[in-house]
Amino acid sequence: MNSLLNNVRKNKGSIKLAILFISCVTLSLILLLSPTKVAIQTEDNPFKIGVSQTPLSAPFIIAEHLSLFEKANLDVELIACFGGVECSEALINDQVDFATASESVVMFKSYQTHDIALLTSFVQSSNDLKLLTLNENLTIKESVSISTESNSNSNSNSNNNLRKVGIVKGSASEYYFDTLLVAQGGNKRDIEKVYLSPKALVDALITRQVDAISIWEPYGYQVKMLTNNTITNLGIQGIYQLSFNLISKKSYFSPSSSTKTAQTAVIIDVLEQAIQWINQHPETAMVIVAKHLDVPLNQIKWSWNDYIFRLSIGNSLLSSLQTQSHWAKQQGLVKGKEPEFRDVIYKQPFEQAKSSKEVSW
Amino acid sequence: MVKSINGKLIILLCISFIFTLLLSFSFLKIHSAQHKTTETLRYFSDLQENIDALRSQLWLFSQRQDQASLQQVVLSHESLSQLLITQNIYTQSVFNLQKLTDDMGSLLTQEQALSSQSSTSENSHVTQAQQLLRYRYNILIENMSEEVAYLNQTTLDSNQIAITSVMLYSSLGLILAAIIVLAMNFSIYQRFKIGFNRMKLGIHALSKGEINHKIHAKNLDEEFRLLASFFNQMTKKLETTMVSKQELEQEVNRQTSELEKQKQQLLVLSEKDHLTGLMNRRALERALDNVINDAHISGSKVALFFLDIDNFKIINDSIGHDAGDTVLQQVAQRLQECTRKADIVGRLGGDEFLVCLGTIEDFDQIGHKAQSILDSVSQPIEFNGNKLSITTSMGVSYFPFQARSRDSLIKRADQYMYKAKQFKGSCCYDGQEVLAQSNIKAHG
Repeated sequence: MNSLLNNVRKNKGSIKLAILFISCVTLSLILLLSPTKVAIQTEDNPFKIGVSQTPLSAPFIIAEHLSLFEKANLDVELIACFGGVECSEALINDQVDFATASESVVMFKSYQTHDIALLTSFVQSSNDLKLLTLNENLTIKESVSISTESNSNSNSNSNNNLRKVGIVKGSASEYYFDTLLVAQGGNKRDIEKVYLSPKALVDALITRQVDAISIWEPYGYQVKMLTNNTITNLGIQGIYQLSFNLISKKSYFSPSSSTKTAQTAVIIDVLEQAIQWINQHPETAMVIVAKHLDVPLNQIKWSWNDYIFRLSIGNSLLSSLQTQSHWAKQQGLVKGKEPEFRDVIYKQPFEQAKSSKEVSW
Repeated sequence: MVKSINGKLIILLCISFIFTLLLSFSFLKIHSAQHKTTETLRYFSDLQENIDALRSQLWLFSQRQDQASLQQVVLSHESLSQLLITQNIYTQSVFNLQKLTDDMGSLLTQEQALSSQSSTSENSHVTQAQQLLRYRYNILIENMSEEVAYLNQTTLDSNQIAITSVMLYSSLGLILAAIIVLAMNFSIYQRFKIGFNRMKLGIHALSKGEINHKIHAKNLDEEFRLLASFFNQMTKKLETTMVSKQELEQEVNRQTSELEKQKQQLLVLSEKDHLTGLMNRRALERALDNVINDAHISGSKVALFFLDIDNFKIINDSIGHDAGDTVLQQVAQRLQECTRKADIVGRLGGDEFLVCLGTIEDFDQIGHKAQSILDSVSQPIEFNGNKLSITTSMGVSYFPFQARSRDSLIKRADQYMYKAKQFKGSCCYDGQEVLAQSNIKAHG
């Protein structure tokens, strides 16, 4: 009887030991697997980002679609605006905390206010701007006495010379055309610049009021949709590079710099994730962007392959800003002292995002 | 749960096998991920080298501005393009790089066009164009470098993610397997302990002699259930065997005691005369031997009476054997009554009796004794309402004077008894004189 009791006591002891052991294992598992994320944002106000409604804003569209901001513990509100100019206006008027804009817009706005901070470029394209014509034989160069192969067959040389070109005044459109002319290395001839709005440019080309138009997407796609004629791009691929950037105000970072910088670094990190996802799933990304922008999928597909989605804040951006600034000054499009573009580029959040990513591994 | 230790051990074996497989699979996965990454990074490093070469050629071209160095730039650019095309598996990842290289190609074409027209056009415009192109080269090269760096980073990240996920899943699997193994081990340990304890208790009880002990097989594992059932069978068999053995022992004891009793009865029967209850001839002879031996040692004396019923044959024949038996029984009873316990009284056979008066110092009282025996024995005997008168003749012999052995002592007494028969009535004679004579007259 006694030994039986003993046995029962022993069994109870070992069961207790087993329970203790199992709970230890469970506890350590929970500790090991529990997420180590620390909440970053505790403010009540969401971050407002003015996002231009173009396929170039794909990283933001995808980040919202995949709820990447929520996953990063950020309360972000994307505010739609049409074109980089409108978005940057909203930023300057404090309607949004961040905005998306091309580097041309950043250059122009830097003359207006010193309170612009370029945080990162997230997409670039060397084929967004095009010099489109419906005349296959048209050349940008002035036909001189020495005929080239391309125009030797034509009956009249004068028909193949670019006379009238449709341009959006004081924009990337004009900059692109001027750059093209420079790259040709010829004289500035009597080419007539016809300044029109982007939409009017398309009509002007279709109705042959102009020989060519210098225009950005998606108007190139619209031309393609509206005519059955062969469309020729007279531009030089790679001569101009458009970039789309995340911008904010320098004053935004001044009061409590470290917190804002950290939060911005998280936004940049989310952009990086979205870009990775886009690069891994380009087809799905196109569908999502087309749906978000409410445009045909083919329109997105038309220019998608020209985009290089990548975060960058290198010297090429600075150089691009300076070059465009020189041009704008020459054209008399801007007045006053040229801003110091080194100060416009605010690298800290980008660097922090990069280093925190390295540390996290 | 499996109710057998063997089954549990097999499951343990299976889990350990899966455990090993999982481990091997994880290492293989990590190895392949690492291998793939190394290959990719090597390719990207080649790309970077080519881009650097292109950059270097562009720098040389910007210094020299001649056709030869432009040719070198074009060659360098072509080699980069080739490298991008050759590796099919990376087409997707180097797509952006391809675009940048194409841009560069387009600019180089423009550069060549410029150099061919430089003779005809104004120099300042060409120089301006060349400057613009150079500016674009620099930007494109920087973009290419950034792109390769980005590709490197992405590759490293995806490798890290792949390895982390493999490690996470395999460690989850391993932890799960380890927990199951642990649980199985614990269960086996517990079950074995319980089973072993019950078996131990059973065998211990058996060794203490509790042959009816039974092991409870309930809730035990199969192996122990089997052992317990064997044990219980064994104890059951042992119990039945033990019971029959005990019964046998009791029977043997009972029969042995009965035999002992019979032996005692036989012994009594062999020394007594069945009719009179006196010593029979054999017992009588042994008793006489003892008395003579004692007397021999102590130097004392012995007197032996030989008694015979006169005309006993006539009683037997005329009245019947029953009357004869009654006479013999009465005489025997009277002889016992008139002698001491220590004296020897026995029936020698037929109607002859012997009386030996132990060891005595002298024979002075012999006559007296003879007279009392004659008086007692010669009293009439009642049989079926009639009184039978009998006479007896008695001879006395003395040790050591007349005979020194038992047989000669009896023979001498027998001779004197016959001498006594010659006298009328009951008489006792000792070879020299008539020691006693009865007055009672016989009927016959």
